[in-house]
Amino acid sequence: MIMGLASSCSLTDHNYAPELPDDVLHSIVRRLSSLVCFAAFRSVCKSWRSFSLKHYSYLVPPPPPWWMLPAKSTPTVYDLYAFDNDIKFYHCKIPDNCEQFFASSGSWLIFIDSKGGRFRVWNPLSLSNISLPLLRRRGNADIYGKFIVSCTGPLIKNDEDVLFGLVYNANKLAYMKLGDKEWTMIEVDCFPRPSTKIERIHDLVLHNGRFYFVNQCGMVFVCGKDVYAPHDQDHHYRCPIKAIKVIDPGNIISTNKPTSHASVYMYYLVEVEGKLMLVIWFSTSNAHLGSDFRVFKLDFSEKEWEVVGIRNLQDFSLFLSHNYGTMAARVPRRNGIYFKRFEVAEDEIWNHKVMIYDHLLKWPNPTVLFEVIKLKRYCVHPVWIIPRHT
Amino acid sequence: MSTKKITLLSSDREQFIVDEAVAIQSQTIKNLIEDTVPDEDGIPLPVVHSRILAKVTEYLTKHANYKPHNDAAKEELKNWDVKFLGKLDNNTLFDLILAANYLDIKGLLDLTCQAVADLMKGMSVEEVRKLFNIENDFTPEEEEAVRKENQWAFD
Repeated sequence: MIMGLASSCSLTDHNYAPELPDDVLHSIVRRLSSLVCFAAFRSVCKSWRSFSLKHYSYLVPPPPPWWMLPAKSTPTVYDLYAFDNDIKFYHCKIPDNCEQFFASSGSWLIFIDSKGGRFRVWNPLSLSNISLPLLRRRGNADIYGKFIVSCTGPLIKNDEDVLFGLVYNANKLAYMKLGDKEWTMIEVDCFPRPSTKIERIHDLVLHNGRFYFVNQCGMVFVCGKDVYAPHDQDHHYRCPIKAIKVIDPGNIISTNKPTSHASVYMYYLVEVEGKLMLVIWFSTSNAHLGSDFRVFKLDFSEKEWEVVGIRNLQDFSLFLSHNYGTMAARVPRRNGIYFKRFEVAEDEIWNHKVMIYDHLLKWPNPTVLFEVIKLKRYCVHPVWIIPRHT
Repeated sequence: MSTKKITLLSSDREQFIVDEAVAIQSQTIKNLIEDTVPDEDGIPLPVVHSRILAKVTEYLTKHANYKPHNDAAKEELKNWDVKFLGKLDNNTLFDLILAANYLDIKGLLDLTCQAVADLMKGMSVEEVRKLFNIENDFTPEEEEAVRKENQWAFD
């Protein structure tokens, strides 16, 4: 902050409006009342244009996500379900050298190229794809968890600062910028108490130029460096960046448990209108469909959690999925949580349900939006994807 | 009852004497009080001019002494904020934003950033440039590309 101020020097000079530091610009742009204002903002000058491209994903609300799932007949074709006022669906054919996606973020899916042995990031609507270096990892099982791309828009074609974040081996983190030759590790500090050990990272999000993640205990961590900051391209190896704890869950779990026997199924981090939220998905019974949710806003200055009622999601709905991108979007059914559960109908047949829990409904009765019956061998986790063409 | 007083020193070395409770609403000042040995004239704030520091202390004093307990009180404080903003010209507004950012006063930063966002409502690109005193540095080709990209908004 002081740096930004120093560059704008004297506050007494009346001949020009001062140059504003990025975090101040953020704060102003987030408050713009419409997309038209935002369009004017990004047409002003080069630096504001690149600023708005860099932060496009949260400055412009994304269109409603679609649901993506392998088609019944063949695993190389996926069905895409759009939830507008009614449900429409489309198909797409996945790339030849893709066996399975392991994560998604915004408009992008990531898979390991079965021929080239690299990561590929692919947009199912534009069909554009880019290749990223592979990360060395342990074993071959379910190794990659979360994946983040900093943009949902068309930027991947330009050489803007596009960031990728990855959770792998359950509790390891790495990130890179588009154009980097390798991933940079994010080191997580060890804490003396055993309960603070990070065994599993449940979710990862990019917020104000920093990666935040939440572990199996609901603790939120931040990676200590602004990942957009330029780094020395000539360096062949770079120092890992450290992650530090931001906030403990405190007693939010015990005081907000929907029922006494409910347990936490998953923690999610999601940005809604520039604010970081923690979503707790509770399992309320052994049955697959017993779910309940609580949403909290993080107050960084007070290190406190603020309970956010589902009515107060500012007209956004949240989209949760097992290890695919968590997102918030404006959809016709506002202030709701879209999620998916499955039931094993018969041994080889799984029944996927997309469910919605919204403010019009009395808990614990989420509505089933629709069901898809799949053969188990074609069953992978369905994906929420933002339909962006460009 | 006496309360502890804090002396703040603007960039032009004007002294502002305020209650400690008023001053420490600024996280930066709070840290300075805790971490540094004060200048004998006060706590130096070398990037905040007296003209702006006067406004900042006016805001802080109001907000320190006025803790709203009900909706009517909240409304009154909000009205005060609106009046406070109404007295500022655009230059002062921008300087206040920078000062609030430097001094880490969240409420004031939120208030002033909202005011700028509100000013931008309905403005053309040229008007926004004028407001922020920014020169159009696009090449004609870039300008054309930008225009196309945002055509939907300005037609």
